[in-house]
Amino acid sequence: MCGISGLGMMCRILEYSADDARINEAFEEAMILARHEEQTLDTVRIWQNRKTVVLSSDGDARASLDEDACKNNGVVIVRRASSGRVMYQDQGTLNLTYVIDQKSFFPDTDSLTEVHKRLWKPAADVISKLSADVEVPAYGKDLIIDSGRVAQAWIRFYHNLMLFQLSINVHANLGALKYVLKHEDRYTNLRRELSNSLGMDDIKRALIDSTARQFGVSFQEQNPSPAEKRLAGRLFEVKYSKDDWNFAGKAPLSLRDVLVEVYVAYPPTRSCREIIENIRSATRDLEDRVELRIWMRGKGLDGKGSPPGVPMSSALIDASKKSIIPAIIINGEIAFSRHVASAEDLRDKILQTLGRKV
Amino acid sequence: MIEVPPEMSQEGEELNRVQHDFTERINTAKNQAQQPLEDAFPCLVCDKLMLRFEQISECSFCGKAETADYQCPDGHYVCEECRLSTAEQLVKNTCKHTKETDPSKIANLLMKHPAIPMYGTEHHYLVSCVTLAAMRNLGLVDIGPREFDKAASLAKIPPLGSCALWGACGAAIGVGIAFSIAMSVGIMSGQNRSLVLNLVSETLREISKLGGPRCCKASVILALDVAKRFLTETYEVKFDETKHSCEFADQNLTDCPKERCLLYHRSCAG
Repeated sequence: MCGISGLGMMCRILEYSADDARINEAFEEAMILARHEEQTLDTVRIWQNRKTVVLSSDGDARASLDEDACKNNGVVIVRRASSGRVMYQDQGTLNLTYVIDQKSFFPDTDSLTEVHKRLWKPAADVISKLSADVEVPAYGKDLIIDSGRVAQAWIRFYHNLMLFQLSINVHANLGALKYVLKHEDRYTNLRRELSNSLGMDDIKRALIDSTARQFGVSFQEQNPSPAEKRLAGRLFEVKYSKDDWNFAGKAPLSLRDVLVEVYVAYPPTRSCREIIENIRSATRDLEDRVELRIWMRGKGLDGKGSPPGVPMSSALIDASKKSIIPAIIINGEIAFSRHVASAEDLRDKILQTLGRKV
Repeated sequence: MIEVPPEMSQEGEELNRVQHDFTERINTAKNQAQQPLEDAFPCLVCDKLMLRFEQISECSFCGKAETADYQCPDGHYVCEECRLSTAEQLVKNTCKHTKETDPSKIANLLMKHPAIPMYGTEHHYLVSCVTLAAMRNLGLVDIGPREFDKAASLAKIPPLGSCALWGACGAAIGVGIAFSIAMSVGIMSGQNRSLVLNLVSETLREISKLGGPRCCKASVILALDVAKRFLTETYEVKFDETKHSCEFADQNLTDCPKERCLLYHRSCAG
């Protein structure tokens, strides 16, 4: 695929689909994490899943799908990181994901409703041109043709970044929906609604053109970056391959083996500063395995607010409610509270926790 | 020019040196504003940049004098104990110490402290304690630590969401508790029992004008407006009549109705 000239900004286009839907979802999250780590270009990913039920981050697996029917028909069950509706996907479903810095991509508006509208527009235009006169759905709504659900979108935030996932039923197997989803909810696909034997590649091409025009961007075709591959691999290992996530919706606290949350005063007192110093000293050579987050009371991560997508453990929330400060929380359990733990004690505790993880 | 608060004042060269050093640090920090400032934080009270400053300072909340670590150019400092304290300790210690006679000013200061969350039952006893503190400082009541303890323990009873669940906001009840303690009202009292009931109902009426969603900051602001109005009408206490806009709208990232709130823009006198 060659680059498409737009008016200004350069964007990355990534056409990448794994055979395993769980890897695809891991890759979605990896893209936004890698974008945050590396400050790479805003990215549009075009991808497809094989037969899959995609649950939302807060969806109830038991209530949403027939697990036996999925198993018997080779339908993979995976949970995505964004909220919204459960969806059946297969090779007839086209996914389009934007990973963008909302403020730089849309410098003229802070309105999420407006951003949502603009991100939907290229797809709505393409579908309109195929003779179905559709409008961009309102925030939180799906794209409907003749009371049938054709396309849906979800948003997730991570720090200043936005992940906008759009799924279009081009010619997804509507029969499969009925046996895997407990509430079929009037899904339809473009091929049926438009009586048009659309080719998936034509739709992809039209979407890319429409996106370039709409945003005045130039696309640069790229492959997954090493950071994305590394993070996707790790996310698959600790999250997307696990029933804890896919069925119970329980995400790991960190991608590393140990998460240390330090809860201190704002601004940090002498004892708080001593604790921060001690924990940094205790973990200096363990950075690959230990993630350190310093939360300041009422002022968020590093005293700079609470970034979207960075959760607090329930023990940290509890410490916050009970004013247990300072506190050191290791893998979701309060390990030291209201006193200055020495670097040696901290390290012993962390090594002990790491030992349990081996 | 940076004002050095009286408690930091030193004579001659030492004062100049301290001032110069502080100004330099502030300027350096401003110049490096785009870089991470591990050692500089916006002031809890005025939002100006606080920097490391190791001189004796008085806590802006409890009044304790100790060697400071961070202080802003306006001399605001928060002592180690207040930074680590629970909301209840903070409210009580501040109210025991303060000389302020306007309860809204004490409440505004307290609500800037990170121990007081955006929403919560802390606001219920905050109203009681700041009202009592202001009345004490106005010479209207003679109260000590026990009264603050009593006010806090009573005002903690209404649960989170009592505004919606009971039809009685804890901040309004907080006004009733403060005047009940100040006037020693009991179940057998006559006129004063009516008085506290009326104060609570008047406060509830004001808070009901806010509509929804609930906002503990707005409830506190309106509850104290009612308490002040009563003090003015009954004791001829003069308060600054400027109605300031809410200072917490920008911190409330989820539920603040902004322009739709009657406290969002109210920078008018009276």
